[in-house]
Amino acid sequence: MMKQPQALSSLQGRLLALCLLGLALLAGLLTDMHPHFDVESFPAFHAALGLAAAVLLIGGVALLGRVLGRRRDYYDRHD
Amino acid sequence: MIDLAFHPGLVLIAGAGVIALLRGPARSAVVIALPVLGLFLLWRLPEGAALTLPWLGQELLPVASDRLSRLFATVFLIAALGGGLYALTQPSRLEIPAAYVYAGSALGVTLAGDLVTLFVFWELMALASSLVIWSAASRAAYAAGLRYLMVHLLGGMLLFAGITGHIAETGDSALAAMTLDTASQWLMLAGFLVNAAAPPLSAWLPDAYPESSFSGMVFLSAFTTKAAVYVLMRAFPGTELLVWVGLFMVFYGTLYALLQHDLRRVLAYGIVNQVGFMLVGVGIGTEIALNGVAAHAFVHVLYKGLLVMSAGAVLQASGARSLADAAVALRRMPLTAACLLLAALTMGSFPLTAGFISKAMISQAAAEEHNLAVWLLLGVGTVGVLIIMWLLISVAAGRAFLSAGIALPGAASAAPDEPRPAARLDPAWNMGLAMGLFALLCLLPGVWPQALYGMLPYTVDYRAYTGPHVVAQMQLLLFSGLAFYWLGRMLRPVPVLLDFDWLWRASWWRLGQAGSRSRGGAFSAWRKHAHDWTRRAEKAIDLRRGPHGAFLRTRSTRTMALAVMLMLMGYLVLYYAPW
Repeated sequence: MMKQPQALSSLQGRLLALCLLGLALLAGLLTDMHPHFDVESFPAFHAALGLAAAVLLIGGVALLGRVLGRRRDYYDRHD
Repeated sequence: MIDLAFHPGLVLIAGAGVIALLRGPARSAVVIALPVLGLFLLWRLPEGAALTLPWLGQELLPVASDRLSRLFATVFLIAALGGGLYALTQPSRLEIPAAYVYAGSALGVTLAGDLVTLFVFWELMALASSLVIWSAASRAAYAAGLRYLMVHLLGGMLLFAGITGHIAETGDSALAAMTLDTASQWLMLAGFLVNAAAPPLSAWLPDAYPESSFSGMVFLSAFTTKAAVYVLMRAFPGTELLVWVGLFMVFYGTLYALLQHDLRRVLAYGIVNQVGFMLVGVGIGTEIALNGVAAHAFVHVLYKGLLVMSAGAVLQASGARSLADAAVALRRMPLTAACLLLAALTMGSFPLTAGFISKAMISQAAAEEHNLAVWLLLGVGTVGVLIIMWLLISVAAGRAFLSAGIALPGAASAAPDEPRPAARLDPAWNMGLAMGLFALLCLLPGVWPQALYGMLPYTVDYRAYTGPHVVAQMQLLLFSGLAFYWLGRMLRPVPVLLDFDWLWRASWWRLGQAGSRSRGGAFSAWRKHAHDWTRRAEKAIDLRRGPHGAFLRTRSTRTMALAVMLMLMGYLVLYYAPW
């Protein structure tokens, strides 16, 4: 265990993470969420938002890096 | 009635002069005592304008204090104290004095009751902060500091034009809420937004801040943008434009932060992102929104200070700048890693940290206005902050997710089973103490919200610790973490990322280069033409305004005296001429 300090490398780590995710979902089902908007009354709305928005943003970052990324010496003038 | 000598900002500015002369323990004592004295003076100030100065027919109010200005001034003084303590071992003798002038002028802005006083401190802030950047004394810091100063002087000109126009039109120099119905008010807004790092002039912040010294960025991250947020809260609350500007900054800051490989540049883009949230709140403009902005600005100074201090400790101990190198260094710096972790969790609004009780008020304000679009976009923006949080947590855990994407020479990739080296690299006592102070302040409002809520400008009837809020935040945290775990490897940093500053850093000669490389075709003929044109323009500018150009040539005193005499004579003729 000590050889791999990263959080989710081991089976136990993954299981623990799954348990936490499940707990968060369960807590969402059991709590009255006092929705301000209709969309919010969908159970696990915030879990879905967290997952979907994160996937979208990471995809967006990858795309943006391809479009706007340049070499290290881009601003150094050579001519 | 109170004297100018008791102005907390002027005390700091005058004290900076004393610090510049002292050495050794006396210097350290003054560095620590000044912000404490400032806090004492600040909390003694009576409510309202404490002093009026007549000036050119205007009533200036250099010391005007209320709950809002006291809150911002308090956090600025805490930032000065933490930064001063942290920077005690900084070898540059210029940095702390410059930073205290910078902090003092930021205080001057928050205590200014009129636009003239505001402008004076605003410009002093730009000059002093440039000195803080330059005190890093590297070529890159010099260049970035110049670009920084240029942008801020431009912003200052916009502000000056706006303020003089406003005073000419209304005859009133008081700093009060405005409605954007005259050109001068638009100019003022533009001047304020430059300092808030709003587009298009936002690149100065991530360009210049990471080039400052390990301790310089602690000061830089606290004052300029938050002073701008404060002034916008005063002058333009409820201006809808700010909602959209803020949302743009939220996403711009997130996307650009996630493409950086320099740890401190990630943090710099994080400032733009968080100031975006604040501007959204200013734009909504209701009492709960403004409370949220004030609380978030306060907390932001604290956790961003702690993040920057942690990154600075890494930079100072190991020279590591990139995420991967910092992750490796942090394996030998457990205390620093713990501070980085705590600050990242505060940024991600983890329950029991100060972030949990502050930023959510802005989302709540959007919900209470029944503005679904803004509320959803703030939610997506919050997820963006959480991705940055997971990135920082992975760095604090000694393992940058990004190492796959970095192929730099010398960047030791984070090999997972490298044994922990024995030698600890944790920072000097003063840096550790400053980090401990800020860590404590990141936790205190989280467990005792009333400590912060009691200082907010309006009465707070918002409860942070409700079941739905905790559950919603935990779901956002955990499920964005899941996405980060799956897809984190897609985050490949790029060495240079184009931004609006391309327009003035490279467009003209890049266009020319593109022309010189192209071959054949109508389009390339046009590019060739563009190349020739940029070359000619460049030569023409150099000929007239270069170091030996006609306009900058040194002339004899005799010629100059003659020129002045002719000018004055011309003026005389024009003035007394019969028409």
